[in-house]
Amino acid sequence: MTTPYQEWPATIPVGRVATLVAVVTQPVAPSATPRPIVLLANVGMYRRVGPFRWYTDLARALACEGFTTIRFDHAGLGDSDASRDNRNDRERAVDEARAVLDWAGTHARIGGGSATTGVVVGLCSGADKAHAMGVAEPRIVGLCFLEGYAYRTPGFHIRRGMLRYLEPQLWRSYLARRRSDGKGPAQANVVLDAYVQFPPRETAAREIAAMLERGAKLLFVYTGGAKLWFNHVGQFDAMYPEVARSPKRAACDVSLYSSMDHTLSMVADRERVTERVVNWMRGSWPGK
Amino acid sequence: MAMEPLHIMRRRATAGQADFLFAGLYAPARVVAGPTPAAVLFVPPAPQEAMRVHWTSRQLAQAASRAGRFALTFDFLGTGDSAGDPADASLVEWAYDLVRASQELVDRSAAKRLVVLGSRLGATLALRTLEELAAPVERLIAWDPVADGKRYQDALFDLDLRRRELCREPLRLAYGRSGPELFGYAYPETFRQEVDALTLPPLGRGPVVDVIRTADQRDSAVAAWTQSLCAAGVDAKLHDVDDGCGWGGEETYSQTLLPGKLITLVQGWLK
Repeated sequence: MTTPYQEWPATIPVGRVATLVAVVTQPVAPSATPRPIVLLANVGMYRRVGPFRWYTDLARALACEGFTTIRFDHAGLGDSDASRDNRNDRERAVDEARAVLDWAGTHARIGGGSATTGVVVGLCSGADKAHAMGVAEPRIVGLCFLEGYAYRTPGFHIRRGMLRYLEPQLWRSYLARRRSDGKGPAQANVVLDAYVQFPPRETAAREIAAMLERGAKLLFVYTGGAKLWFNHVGQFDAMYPEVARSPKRAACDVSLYSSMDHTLSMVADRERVTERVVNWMRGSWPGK
Repeated sequence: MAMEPLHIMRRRATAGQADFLFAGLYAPARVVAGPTPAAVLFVPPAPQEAMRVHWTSRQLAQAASRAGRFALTFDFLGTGDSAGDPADASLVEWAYDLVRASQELVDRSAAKRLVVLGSRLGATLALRTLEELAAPVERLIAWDPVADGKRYQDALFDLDLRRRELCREPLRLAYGRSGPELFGYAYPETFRQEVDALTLPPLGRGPVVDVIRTADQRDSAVAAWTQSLCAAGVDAKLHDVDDGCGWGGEETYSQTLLPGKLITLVQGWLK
């Protein structure tokens, strides 16, 4: 049995001292139409394979649809060298995305020579870095944010106020706390709240609008892990009215999977989100 | 101390299919006078735990490199960056992976001896495969080896159920539990049967055996097995290390382990 993709390890120079460790996944039969390369990088401290190896699976699924993927470790994470400068993670992530695209554009095995464009997929902290890459690098023509920025709206609070009392977990926690004298199980999402830092809403809206304006295509995927900030697909337009009014709004897709957890810790969940991302890629950049 | 990523080609023991293992080679950062020091092979645990120990393996591989040694990390078939799917998990294939990885390390380093560091399932598998590795093992470091495969798996499935209860809706539990899945990875029944039968093997005289037990894994069966090795004349020692982080815990099951004391201990052996 042979697979419809090929995979090979690589090292990508970035700056003068650091080297990024990467894996390239390619279709065996390259697409006749130039298509963007998909960039996948770390989620939190996980190495490039992603939580529950999702990025490995996603890369192979995308290769079966004709897309080349480069999954790499940011400097200092996974297997990559540590960077020796004092810039912040977002600044460094932008440089690294540029280095990966530069490298891909000149590498013969990836069809180097032609101008290379990229699509960044980022989950959680990776979504934050993906946003920075998309804002700063015009060669990024598409972004898929999993648990990207979200801002509570009046509608969110109304829904949250009503819907939370329908959540079985709330009642189970309440009953458990009653039974154990106030020491019931914690809700995992409450802990997550402490790690989340979004930029001001106006900044995010302006940057998203600018990316759309230059022709980028965007996919926002939210899960139940974001339920403290996002609880309805329609909330997207309420969060970003500037984007909703834009003639480019159609280039922006939004999905909510409220029954899934933040890191897609079940096989069926990852398969469903993989299908969503692959379909979005196929529809946005069809091959011949 | 940059890692060189590479593919180790392999052929499936069961189907003959050509595959690859992803591996990372660390070359010595300095030349050591005298005979070539033993090269270090890292054997990962099962996938749900492998993502937690990666940072530790990297730290120790870099320490080995600084000490003038070659070191190799790798992913088992169907895990990490290697070929295949988790549904391909098989102790027969993984034992073969271990032998292939040892051969690659010996070929690339020209080392005459190996140090093997395995964690959890990887430790037990390494102990069971010692005789088949590409070079004699001078030291085997077993980090919380699995003494009783069935007890190990039952504990993992219980923990997985508890963490699902913590972070998921009860309605989802109904179908999530029904599939052959553990900690978000497909978990084939054949693999479960193989691991159920897994035990720590007796060893003859040969390598120094250092057994490390962390705080939440003070398994008395591991202590008894270490004692039995000593009684058989093996140079074996048991080390209890409390780093405040362990394998259990429904809220910490996916967190990266940062076992500073364990790293310091092992670094001392690699110098």
